[in-house]
Amino acid sequence: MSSKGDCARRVEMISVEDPGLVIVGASLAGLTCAQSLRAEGYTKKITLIGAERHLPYNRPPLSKQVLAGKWQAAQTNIDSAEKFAELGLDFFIDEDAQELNIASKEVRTSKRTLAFEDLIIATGASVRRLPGTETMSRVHVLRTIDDALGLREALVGIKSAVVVGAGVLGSEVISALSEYGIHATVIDRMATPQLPLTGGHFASRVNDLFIEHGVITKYGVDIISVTEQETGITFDLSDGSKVSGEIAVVAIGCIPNVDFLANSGLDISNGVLCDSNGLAAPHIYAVGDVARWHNPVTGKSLRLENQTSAIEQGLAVGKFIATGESSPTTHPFFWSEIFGNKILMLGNLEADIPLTIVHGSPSDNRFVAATISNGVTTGIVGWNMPREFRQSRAMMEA
Amino acid sequence: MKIRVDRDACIGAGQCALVAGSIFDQDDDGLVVLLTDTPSDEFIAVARKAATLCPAKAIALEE
Ligand SMILES: Cc1cc2nc3c(=O)[nH]c(=O)nc-3n(C[C@H](O)[C@H](O)[C@H](O)COP(=O)(O)OP(=O)(O)OC[C@H]3O[C@@H](n4cnc5c(N)ncnc54)[C@H](O)[C@@H]3O)c2cc1C
Ligand code: SF4
Repeated sequence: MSSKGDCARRVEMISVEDPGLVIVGASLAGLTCAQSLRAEGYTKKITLIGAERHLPYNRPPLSKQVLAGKWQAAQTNIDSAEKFAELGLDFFIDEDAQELNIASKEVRTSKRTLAFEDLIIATGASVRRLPGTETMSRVHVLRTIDDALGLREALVGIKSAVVVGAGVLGSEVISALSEYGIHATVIDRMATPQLPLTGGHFASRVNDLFIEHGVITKYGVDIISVTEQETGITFDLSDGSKVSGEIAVVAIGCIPNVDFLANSGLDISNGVLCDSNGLAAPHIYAVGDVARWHNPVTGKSLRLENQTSAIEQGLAVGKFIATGESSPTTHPFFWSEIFGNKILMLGNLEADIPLTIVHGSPSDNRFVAATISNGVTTGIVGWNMPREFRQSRAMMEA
Repeated sequence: MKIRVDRDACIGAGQCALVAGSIFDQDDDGLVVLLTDTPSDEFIAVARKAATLCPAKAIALEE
């Protein structure tokens, strides 16, 4: 796809030597940068390239509405082709960046070499695979729309599945399996399930949901070996036991897509290290899942893998490039739906501070809880209480 | 300008009601409720901001 018609006209208006801006990675973060640049008055050329063959789409519904069979693939699209055309982008899908040369300000792609004045790295993350299972057809992962459609198809008619990883994605997959009446076993090397940003406070709640829904749990074990048979897949575990299912879903996290930056000189240990404006080097920015921004409030540099951070970083970088203005640091926000429970999380709950119940009651399965340390609220979770959660957000601003 | 919301996509984050409370509210389940689908000119900028910030991309603007 391309919005060539409009772009050709636009490009004529700017000087031939001006290479403009290149955005690598055409998903939520990259697209938000382009929108923000235009909204903030950036008129130079913007080239957006993305490795996938699809128009940008939302990933959160993949493990929720799409896996549950409630949505068709097209419903995940972020915007229509017409909306992209309005932004006046040179937009190319199915093209990936392969090498960055900062000195010459060029990025080599699978199709050509692009010169840039400014570069935004928005290449996100790739799913982490379980070594040895890469080619096993009964072992699934979930990161792209194609993964989601493939997994949904594989669920038809099966009765059992093994999920590796009891994080938020694994938990969402387990609840989808349960809706299909598929019996799940979950394996994790940690001792409990994990929700992001919650300091372990909800581990036992999530585990209770697993138990209530008949999920077999294998925590604190390592996988010794995996074998694929004609009818299923078997895991040998470090406690001497074996677990099997007709298929397996591996949800053990993601790895930032930084391969093309290997010789660039940038710090790419756990994502592209950036300052609090998203600058990794002069004229080089990174946003979204691939980026590790410095947070001046906490003093830490963290890679945040969620929609809101991708959007907020995209908005901030667009504004910074177009106007030179910085944006305030925001709190990370995440949501999930596990066995029908709507969970919203803001900030970072601290493990060693007990929860304060702000609204509702945990025994009614509807509450808002926070961790408050020395009068400062560090994180808030809403459990089936979205409106009260929104009202409580003011606590974080105080 | 006309606003459309997709309540099937909405996850009740409330970003919209936070930045544009005159246009968006939330029902008891937290799902977005449109107070008006044709905001007056002075509210178009905040409506656009809400659409950009919505983490579920559940808000669409038709010019
Ligand atoms: C199943 C699933 C469920 C999720 N659920 C939630 C949720 O409920 N809430 C939430 O907040 N977040 C959720 N997330 C996380 C959220 O989707 C991500 O944080 C978000 O997609 C990050 O956007 P991004 O643009 O930074 O990266 P990505 O979406 O990873 O996009 C990066 C793009 O860059 C492309 N690319 C990679 N390398 C290159 C290259 N060299 N050249 C060109 N292009 C390249 C990739 O193909 C990809 O299209 C979920 C993610 C998944 C997979
Ligand atoms: S910001 Fe989006 S997801 Fe959140 S309540 Fe509004 S429409 Fe729903």
